[in-house]
Amino acid sequence: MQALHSKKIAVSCQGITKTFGEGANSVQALQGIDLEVMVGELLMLVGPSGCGKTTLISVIAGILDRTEGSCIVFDEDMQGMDTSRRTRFRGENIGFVFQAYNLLPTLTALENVAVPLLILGRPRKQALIRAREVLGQLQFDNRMMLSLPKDLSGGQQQRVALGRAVVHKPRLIVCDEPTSALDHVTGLKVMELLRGVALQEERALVVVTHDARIFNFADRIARMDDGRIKSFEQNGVNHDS
Amino acid sequence: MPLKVGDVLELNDHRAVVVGICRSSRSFQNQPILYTTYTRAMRFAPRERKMLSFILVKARAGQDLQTLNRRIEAATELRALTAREFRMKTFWYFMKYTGIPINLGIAMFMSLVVGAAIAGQTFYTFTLENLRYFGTLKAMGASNSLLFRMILLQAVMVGIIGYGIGVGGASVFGYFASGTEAAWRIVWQLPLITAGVVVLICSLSAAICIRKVMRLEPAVVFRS
Ligand SMILES: Nc1ncnc2c1ncn2[C@@H]1O[C@H](COP(=O)(O)OP(=O)(O)OP(=O)(O)O)[C@@H](O)[C@H]1O
Ligand SMILES: [Mg+2]
Repeated sequence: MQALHSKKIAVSCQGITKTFGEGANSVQALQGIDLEVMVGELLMLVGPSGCGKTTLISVIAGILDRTEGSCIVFDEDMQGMDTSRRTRFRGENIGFVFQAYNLLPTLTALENVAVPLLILGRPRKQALIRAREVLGQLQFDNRMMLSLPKDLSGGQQQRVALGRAVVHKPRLIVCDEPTSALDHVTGLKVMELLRGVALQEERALVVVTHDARIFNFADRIARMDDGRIKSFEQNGVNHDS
Repeated sequence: MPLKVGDVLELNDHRAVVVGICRSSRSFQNQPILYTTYTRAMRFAPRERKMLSFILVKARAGQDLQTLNRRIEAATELRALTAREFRMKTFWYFMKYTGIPINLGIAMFMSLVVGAAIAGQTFYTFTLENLRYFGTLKAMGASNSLLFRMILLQAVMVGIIGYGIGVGGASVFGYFASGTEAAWRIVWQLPLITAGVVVLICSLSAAICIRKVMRLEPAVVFRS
């Protein structure tokens, strides 16, 4: 606790609301969210389907505009930026992990991991060297690195996606249901790697999940319902390797 | 049985010997054409009021053709044309007085429309199928201009490959078709026009894709 409070704030949200649509058909997906995520923390967002978890991480990651409130990520408000600066900020600072992996099907595992670096304009050769290093940490051998996503298992694909999320050393990583397409054992393995590889001093993680079996990988759990955060739980279990 | 040199045949009760075969492309009409001297032609064909359609004149080397034409016209009161003029006159005859250009033109236009529609449709399907990946790239920080260049590169590659297959295939076909019954000819303008059309179709298809991707909200990536 002491250590956590002395650390920096990665994400700071105040009074965030989000309304989809207008008039009678409008949906208020977020109804006033106050939330802080610390650097070095893994925060889990949990709650019933439709409660606004995906909407909230989309706003935090700067891929969706909020309706009201403020959201500061590493001292910057992405909504105030013009499109190209905002895109750039996302590319440099935020990593993504998706439920459906979203790996580019025509690229090898290695190339997929290199993509964020290529987007940032790094030379191809350098990007591939760094991608190889990251996939090595995720226990990939050479043959797996050169496989296409379709030739990899779900767990392997999600590990590639993990590699892609961390390869450019972003300061915030958002994951939407990273284990819900995986069986239990594979899910635990992915979460272990997620904590081990992704969670480092200067980085924060926000993980949306339904999966109660991975709750103890969290430092803190925010329980959401109906567009609000109902409670925070501090988690005692420490999975740092 | 096609005729060959040395064959003897009967033409209107007269004996005729084939001494040569004129190698030419098949015309749209299908009467056979016989070349012979004027006096022999008079013997083969029954007398009509006007026996003579064309006389082939060979100019002496160095002779100015236009002057020669004018001299012939003055002397005979017949129309004299150079080979090139005669060719163009024939060409325009077919263009103006036959249904051939209209029919071929419609066929060409239809294949163009169908081709463009298929290409556009294919590119559009490609876009829709890959929207999730475009969204992923956008979320991960790919700028619109980067995606624009990616799509453009794709369109250019597809265009080059398609053009190569099309024009290459046509040329190979033409190569093997030459000397057969098919009158095959690719004029030099044709590859250029085709290139223009391919560029047009590719740009249109790419524009549809680019429009869709530019407007794509990166937030779609988290929706399943
Ligand atoms: N683009 C959109 N347009 C309209 N309504 C939307 C849109 N996105 C989300 N919603 C609505 O907002 C609410 C919250 O959706 P959200 O996807 O954030 O829920 P969730 O907690 O992630 O649910 P799940 O666990 O099923 O993924 C839902 O009622 C949903 O229907
Ligand atoms: Mg969701």
